Amino acid sequence: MTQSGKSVGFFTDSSLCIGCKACEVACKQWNQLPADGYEFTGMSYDNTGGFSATTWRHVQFIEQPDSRGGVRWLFNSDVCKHCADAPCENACPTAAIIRTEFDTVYVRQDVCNGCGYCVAACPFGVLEVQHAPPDDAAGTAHKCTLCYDRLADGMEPACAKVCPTDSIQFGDLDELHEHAKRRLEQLHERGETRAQLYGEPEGHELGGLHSLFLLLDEPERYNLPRHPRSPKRAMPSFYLTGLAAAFAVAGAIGLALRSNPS
Amino acid sequence: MKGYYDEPALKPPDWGWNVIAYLWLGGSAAGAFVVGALASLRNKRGDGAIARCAFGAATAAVLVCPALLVSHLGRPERFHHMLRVFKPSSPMNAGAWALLGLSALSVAAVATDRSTMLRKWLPRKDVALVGLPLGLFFATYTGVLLGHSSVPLWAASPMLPALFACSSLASGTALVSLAAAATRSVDDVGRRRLRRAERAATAAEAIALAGWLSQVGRFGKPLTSASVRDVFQIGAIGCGIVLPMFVRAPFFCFGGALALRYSVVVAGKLSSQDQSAYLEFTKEPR
Repeated sequence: MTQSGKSVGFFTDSSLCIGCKACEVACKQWNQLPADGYEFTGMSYDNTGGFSATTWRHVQFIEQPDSRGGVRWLFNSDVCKHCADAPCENACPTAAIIRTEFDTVYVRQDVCNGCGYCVAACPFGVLEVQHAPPDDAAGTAHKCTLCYDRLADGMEPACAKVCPTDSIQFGDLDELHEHAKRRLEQLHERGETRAQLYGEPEGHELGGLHSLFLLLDEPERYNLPRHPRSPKRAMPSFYLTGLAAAFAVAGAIGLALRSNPS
Repeated sequence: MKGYYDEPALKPPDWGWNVIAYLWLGGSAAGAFVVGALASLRNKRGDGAIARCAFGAATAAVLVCPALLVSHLGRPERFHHMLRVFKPSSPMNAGAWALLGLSALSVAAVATDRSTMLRKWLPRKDVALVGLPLGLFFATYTGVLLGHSSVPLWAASPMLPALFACSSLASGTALVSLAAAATRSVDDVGRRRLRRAERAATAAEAIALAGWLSQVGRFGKPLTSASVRDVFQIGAIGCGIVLPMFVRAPFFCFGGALALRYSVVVAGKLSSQDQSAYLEFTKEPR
């Protein structure tokens, strides 16, 4: 049973993922998200391609040649990272994006004004503003809610519930961290030397991710930035540099206006 | 390192012509207001005419801005959603409040010109004193707005706000010159002084642009893509910076600022779609 006031999250163990896409389907079913059409990407078995306003879980299919001349499959179910210090939440000008009582990141649809600033801020390409009928011009930003409505009723998120191999695990964040570390050791012992955790809080600019991943290769292979940046961090230097220039040029304009050219 | 097939790692910001026009007109309005404020604070012979012209131009430009933002957001009440909270940690929220303040002060500055009664309890010098830092903040924030993002081209260098600030002040001064020419309200001496001011700001813009380009390095590649290159090189640099340095061309200086906003915004969208650029950008810890 989920308690409010506790930090919860996902641990997606990609070594257990079999690429069945049940999480994608369950997410769409529970959240009543429409299908994205039948587009053939031509890349592996992934015709989803990436996140969108109506796709909040995305199963990746990575084909790698192995040492025996065959192919090794890497699967991973990607999702919103629910960052500890979320850039989308910082950017949001209406405070539509909030932290819930479960320490997850949630977009309040009745407050969102569709400005799209969270889209530019997100370091993981998660959010998208939906421009769809009946109100084409006035879309709002959408992403994984970590099944906020289910959590409120003491249920786990739909994707974790349906995952047949327990690749997607939901629970108390501290426990997930411990579990992830144990699982990583296990894999290292078995010779999966490239296995690594993604989203640990140590030295993380975003304070760590509430969606942890266990990856079987470098993060870049999964389109995950190795060191995601917090736009907030750079803001003071951006303001200072800009304002210094602005005041200096205002001074120059003041001087130019003062002189009386003949 | 190669990422996940050719899929971009970021979503492109869906900011179109209305946001580009907003960054341009808002910045120019702030620049024009600053010129008006500086002239009012000096208040010697000829300054009154320049200030009147500048505040008029600033008001005309700043009042278009909310309409542009509403056209982006889709519905008028959505602009108000930004004013239901005061959240300076979000540059967009800070900008919404700054826009509100700049609009109010521009209208106030024009109103004090028209009414002697109003002038008594709201001297124009007070409006100028409060508005001067606000105008400079506004000119700067338009660059911080883009910089506070994950887009490599925008987030790579803190020179972007400096570039936008200089460009806004140059195009704002040019806008005052245009208004002065249109209304014939400023004498020849005044127009020459405005021309000098415009040239000083444009020179600063050239330096800021050079600094920004050298700092963004390889992340500036989208500026040379087919859809941006000509607008950036001919429009923003040629017409907006080089030409006004040598000849009196306020129209080109003002228009060049639009070309610069277009180039930076469109190239930023391309930058967000460049998978290898983003994975490279985030390769090392800051």
